Amino acid sequence: MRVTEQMVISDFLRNISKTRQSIDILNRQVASNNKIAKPSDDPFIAEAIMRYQSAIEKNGVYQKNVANAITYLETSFNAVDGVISTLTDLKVLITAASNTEEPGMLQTYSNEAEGILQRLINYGNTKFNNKYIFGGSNTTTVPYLYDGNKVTVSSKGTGGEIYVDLGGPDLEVINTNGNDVFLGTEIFDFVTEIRDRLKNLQSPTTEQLNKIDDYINVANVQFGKIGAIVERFKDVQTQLESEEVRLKDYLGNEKDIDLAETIVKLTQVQTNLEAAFRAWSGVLQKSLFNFLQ
Amino acid sequence: MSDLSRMLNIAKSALLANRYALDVTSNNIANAHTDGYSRQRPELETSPSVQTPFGYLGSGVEMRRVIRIRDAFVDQEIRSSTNSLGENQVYNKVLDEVEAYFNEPNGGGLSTEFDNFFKAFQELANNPEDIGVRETVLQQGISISKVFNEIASGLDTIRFDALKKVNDTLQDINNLTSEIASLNKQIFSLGSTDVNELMDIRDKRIDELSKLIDVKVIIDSNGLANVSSGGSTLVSGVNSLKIVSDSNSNYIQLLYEGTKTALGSISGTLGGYVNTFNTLIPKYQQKFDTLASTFINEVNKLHSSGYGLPDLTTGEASTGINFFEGTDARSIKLTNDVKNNVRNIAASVDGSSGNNLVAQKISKLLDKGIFDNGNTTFTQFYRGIITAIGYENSDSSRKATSYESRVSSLENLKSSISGVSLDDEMVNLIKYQRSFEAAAKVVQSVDELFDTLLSLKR
Repeated sequence: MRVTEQMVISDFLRNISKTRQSIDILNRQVASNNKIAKPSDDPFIAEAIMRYQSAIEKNGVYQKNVANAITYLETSFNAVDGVISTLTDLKVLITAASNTEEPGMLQTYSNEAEGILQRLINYGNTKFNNKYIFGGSNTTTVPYLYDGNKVTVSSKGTGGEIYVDLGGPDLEVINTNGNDVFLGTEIFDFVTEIRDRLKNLQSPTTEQLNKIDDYINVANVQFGKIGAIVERFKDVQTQLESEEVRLKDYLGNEKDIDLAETIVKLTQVQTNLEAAFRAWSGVLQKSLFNFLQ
Repeated sequence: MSDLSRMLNIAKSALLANRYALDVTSNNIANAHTDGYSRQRPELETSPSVQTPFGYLGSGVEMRRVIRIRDAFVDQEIRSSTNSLGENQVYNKVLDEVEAYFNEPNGGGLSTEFDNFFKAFQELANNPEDIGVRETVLQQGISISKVFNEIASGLDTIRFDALKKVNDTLQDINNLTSEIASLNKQIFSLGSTDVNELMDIRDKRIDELSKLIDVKVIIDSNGLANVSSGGSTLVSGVNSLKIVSDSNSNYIQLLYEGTKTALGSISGTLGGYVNTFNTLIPKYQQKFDTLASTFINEVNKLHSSGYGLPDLTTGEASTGINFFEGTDARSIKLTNDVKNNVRNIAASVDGSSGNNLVAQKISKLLDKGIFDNGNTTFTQFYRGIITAIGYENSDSSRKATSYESRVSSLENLKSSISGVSLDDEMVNLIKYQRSFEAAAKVVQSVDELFDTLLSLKR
């Protein structure tokens, strides 16, 4: 093949330009630590990056949700625990009042019963993050109202569920309905009744003494239920944490360059460029013209 | 005597022919790096022989013509590859711009907005009573709408830039075709098929034209180049046909200026921009609008079924309110109901302040199967658009690179055939110079012979 000056020059320029392009790409990769800058660099990687990034963001939200949910449940757990111990105190009081020989003591017991009633109301109106936890979905209205004599449920009721999304197929309910613990106002009414009975200097009845155990059982059931949910959520939390590590690992594999490898490549290409310049400066300048006298 | 003067004439023809040859050589050297120049070669031929008593004898040398070395086949190959190169470079450039507007995958694009939208509604679900959180949801709603709007207007910009490019390119094409026609006229008026310089310029113009539009060239018996594109004539002899565009917001059509008849299929840079306007961008706009309108509808469907926070004075919770308004990516924005009062953002399914089911459902929406009969989610659909753009662009970039290397290898082939090699020319220079010197020597010898003859008489 006949080789002309034009050919040598354009070949040289093309090769230099190609090498410069590689340097540009490698430089950008090293500077940004990203394999690709735009989807067309590798659509497959771009899709994976978007997918993993979104999954990591979601995972972060779910981890936050599960941590919040656990704290919320622990608040409920402590409140129900408080209800149980209060009811146990009530049982002691009823037993003591039934067995007392001194009618004068009944008035004192009545006052204690009032205290127990108020403790129960306090538990019923427990707040988490400024929200009433036993009010169902009516989190901003006081669920249990007390007029000094009798407890009533807020006009909005205590029904409704609070959901949390932990990334599973279904939403999780995290609130315990006040109804399930206090049976509407039944337990409050029961305490009110005992208080009033004692106030009238009457001893509690045997049925009442038996009844208190039923009420403690009701609270116990909720106590166990909440405990079980907390345990399950802690498992979910662990899963989410290990999922995060895994996802970040996947993302890193797709997104990040191998720095050492890229720098080696960069050095190689730079050497190529220098070699090309050197060769060019030596070879291309010469023609027969240089040797004619 | 007559023999000596014949010798002198032969030497004269050699002096002349070699001087012409030296002219051609020096012209080659002068144009060694001129773009579009084809090297020229003097065609020396022996002069007709004359009859002598001893038979036929040569009468010297003459310069018959100067021809340019050119391979029409390689020219056509280069033109067709340049044409495909030009078209793919357009797609590559346009899709690069499209990708820049989508700004994926390293953050800042709609996928980040979708994630933030999910986060905002999750936050709302966790704290439906909180006015501050509702403010965040509002801001996120504004932000995601803006990203939709920006991408949509970006795509519009690219599309209308393409329209402008079509008109600029048409102007270039019309200028080139009229120049080719006028070169045809000049060549015709000179009445020779060896008007090398004009032919070089004409070939260069045709090369330039081939990048813009697909060309087919037929040289007729008078040496005139007839140029056509996809079956439509552009240059016919000494006349060129002007092309104009006729466009509405949906479609560009190319017509002959005179007859208003439409041109056939078009490729090259012009074809690239026409297709960009007619199909390439609309294809993605349509998908993107489907994404936006479905997003608007689905969010609104859930949002309007839910309840906002109860009003502080009346205690009534609003319902039936849309979150977004608009019908596509260009027009999506928050409704005034939501913008003016964050209590109208619906999180609750029943009007109670702590219920969060609607907020939960809206946040889940992006991962719910909606498209393709419920098999594709919003994020999948969106990622589908991004990867489709990515694949199409990487394909156009790959094609552009491959045509580029094809063009350059053909350019090398052309340069190998038509290009000036200084080594060649140096050799020719010496060759013709030596011939010239030898012919001069012949003149000198003839002169001496005359002297010898004339001295006999004294």
